Amino acid sequence: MRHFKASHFRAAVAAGLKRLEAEKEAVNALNVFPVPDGDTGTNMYLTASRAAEEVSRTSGDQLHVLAQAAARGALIGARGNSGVILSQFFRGFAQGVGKLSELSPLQLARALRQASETAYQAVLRPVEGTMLSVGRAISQAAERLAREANDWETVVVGAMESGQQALRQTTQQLPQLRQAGVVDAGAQGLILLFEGFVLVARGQAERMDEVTGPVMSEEAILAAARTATAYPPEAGESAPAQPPAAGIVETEIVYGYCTEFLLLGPAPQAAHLLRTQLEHLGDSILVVESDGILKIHVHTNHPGQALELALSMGKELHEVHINNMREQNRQAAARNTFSSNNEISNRAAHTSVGTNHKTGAWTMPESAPATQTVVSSAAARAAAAEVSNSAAVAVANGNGIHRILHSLGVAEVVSGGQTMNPSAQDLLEAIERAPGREVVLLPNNSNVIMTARQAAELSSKAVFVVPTRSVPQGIGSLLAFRADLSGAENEKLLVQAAARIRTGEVTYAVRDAEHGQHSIREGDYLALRDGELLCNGLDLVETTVKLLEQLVQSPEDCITLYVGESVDQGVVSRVEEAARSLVPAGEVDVYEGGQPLYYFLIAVE
Amino acid sequence: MSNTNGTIGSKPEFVVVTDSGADIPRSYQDEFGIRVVPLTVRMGNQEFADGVDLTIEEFWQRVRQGDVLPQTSQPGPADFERVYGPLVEQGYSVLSVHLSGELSGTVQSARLAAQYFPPRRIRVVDSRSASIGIGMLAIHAARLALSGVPCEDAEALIGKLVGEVRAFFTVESLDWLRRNGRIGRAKAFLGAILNVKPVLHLEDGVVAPVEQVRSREKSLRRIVDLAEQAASGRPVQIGIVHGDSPAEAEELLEKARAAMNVSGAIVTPLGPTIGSHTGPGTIGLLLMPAGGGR
Repeated sequence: MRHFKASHFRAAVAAGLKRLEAEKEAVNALNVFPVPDGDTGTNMYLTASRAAEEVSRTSGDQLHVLAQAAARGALIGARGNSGVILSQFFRGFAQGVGKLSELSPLQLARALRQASETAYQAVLRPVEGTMLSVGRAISQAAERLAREANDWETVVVGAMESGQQALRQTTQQLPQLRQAGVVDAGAQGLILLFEGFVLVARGQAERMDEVTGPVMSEEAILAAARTATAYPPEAGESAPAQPPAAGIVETEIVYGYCTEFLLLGPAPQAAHLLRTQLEHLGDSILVVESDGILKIHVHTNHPGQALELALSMGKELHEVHINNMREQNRQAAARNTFSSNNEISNRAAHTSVGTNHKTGAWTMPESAPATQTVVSSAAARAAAAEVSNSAAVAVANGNGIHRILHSLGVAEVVSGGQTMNPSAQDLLEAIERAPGREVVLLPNNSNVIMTARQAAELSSKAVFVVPTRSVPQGIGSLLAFRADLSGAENEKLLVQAAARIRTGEVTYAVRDAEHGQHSIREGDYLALRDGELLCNGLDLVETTVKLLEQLVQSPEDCITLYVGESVDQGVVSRVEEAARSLVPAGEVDVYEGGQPLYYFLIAVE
Repeated sequence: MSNTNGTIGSKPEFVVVTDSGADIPRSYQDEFGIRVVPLTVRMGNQEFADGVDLTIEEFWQRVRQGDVLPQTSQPGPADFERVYGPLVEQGYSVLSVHLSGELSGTVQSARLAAQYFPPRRIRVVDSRSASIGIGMLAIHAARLALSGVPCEDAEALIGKLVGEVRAFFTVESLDWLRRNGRIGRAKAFLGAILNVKPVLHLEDGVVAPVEQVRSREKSLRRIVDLAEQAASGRPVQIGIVHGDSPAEAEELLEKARAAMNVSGAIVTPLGPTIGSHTGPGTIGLLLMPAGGGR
């Protein structure tokens, strides 16, 4: 019997990555919507490349060590909804491998099933006709074949056929795909990655560079995609039917303690050694090196052993935080019920600060707050003003937008959103940089929401994701942000505020497309209302005004226009004028957003 | 509740004293015999005693004309002594209700002055509030006095009410609160690039943020919502104060009456003491349980 070994996995991941790299533009073209947004192919490629990077950095011939390295890389490298789901395949696969250093065909099939199941669990409302159904088809076929097969190669090659079939079926499973006559982009991406396994199984991986074009039979599918007329947004992900608040569902906490600390004076190679050795103690491992200090994060049932292990590789431990995650989970479950209690304790905290004032201030003019005799009272007031219980982190593009977000009290702004989706690690680093132990995270893009939830799960801080789907919605919700309140209270306030905002976006078509009733030519202006295509046209002002007319519901509405980079001032003036006439009793404000690709971002409330 | 059935018309046991930060309209001062100790308002090189040699109308007119930032200084203990002295001589006790100690040293001056008199003759209460929030407490205290409640009991009753007075307001610009050092926790709202209106409240006697909204109209609606939540169905006494925008105040009153069970309402412009710190365009809705919650 031939087993699936570490060397096979190593080669398969590398080969799958090459396939993704070669075809990522074709996968991008499968996006159902012709807007210049974050792309499925690029997101899956970048996610897989982090997985491959971790694998190549990890030595040894134990499959489980490599599988966990891949999972770790994919988890923090995850970009876009497709990347997050892909990372869950890797994670599930690693769980399926367990502690085995190689797999029999049947064990391999079970690991593939675990991969598929974990990915399904990652999505609140799984949609058929996406990479989820392709992953399941592969794993089901693998289990069937493994019962009879004597070698893993047969299992993989046979399973691919079912995967291909499932891929072709996606066209029929989702209406948008049917109309465009293409397969689902995420599903295609998964097939490309799995091709790496097939190439290794067939002994073709080494000769890959000589092989031109896809090895398997989906050449025609990709060709169709290249000429395909078009599709909905990075929604092209599995997303047209992606639930509004898709999130990671953690069914059970395997490792109970989130353990986080700094290691000063680490020995050479300590980062690498810790990454691999901590694998034996738990998961969600993160070892980040900066300025000669290692920041270590692990979920484990043995925090003490993790600390000892690190101590053996460096001089000192600092800022040790150990949180019982099972307890946090129970509290989170109870949070809604007890939110009013939080508020009370919060107020009590303020009182203790605010009442710390001295007597004898009477000789001083009141308007001089810093005079000596009132110092303690003024200091108490100042201290009260500084009370900061949570920080906000937001994702957005454009200098003007960044300035506005900072002015609203956002501690860290991560560049990205449209054009480039940030990775879970990008978000995680911003969360860690933000002050305080509680963070409110605003993805400001539907395709960043899952990444945000993933980053939230990886972070040891209490992270509250407010699932904002656009920058205008994010800014609108931040008007309710209060650093003095807890993360949970802010989450509630921001979600309410976000619900009051209607979003408009004006961009252009990157290619010809048929979408719903709309016949779109490359270069057309596209107007989106709350993420849905409303109209397209050849005149920027006209298209934008049409959108405004649909967004405005009352003459008392307030319109905020965020102008993109290099939009003609004359265009801005005409749009502003039209906006004012739509809301005679409301307000119109125009700000320089400086965002690329989107001429106007619009909030109406 | 003991001793609340004193003989109407008989001489009250105590007199209520407050400061010009209470924004009590003159007619109420006269009707309830409330004494008001003025704060000093400085505009440029000139100094005025609030309500004595500077009327509300003159104040707002000057604010509109000039770009000078008015400033205030609290009364000294001697100013209180001058008011307390004759009252004590006439045999009265005094209940002295004042601006939040977090916003002004006025209440400290009152406490110092009280030490010059026999124990328990002068009782000083920190309202933890401002403007008509103090005003409503002072008027309620005066009603208690008129109905024969002893000063000691009134102090206890008013002390309990202090925590129940709520104040929600918006300002045209946070600059006024900032420049006079009264911005408190609303500091978080400074520096917004967006054209937004802050919704604020008084929390433990300090200015604190509620949220920012996109328009004046929305800020007024939000203030009424917040007041309605705070009232939670109980009948309330309300006060509406404004930085010289009476029409808006009437509009706010109408909205408040529609949203809440309002048993009594006082609408009044902000006087120089508070107006100096909040600026023009300020509008606030303050409330407390009707009848002191009894």
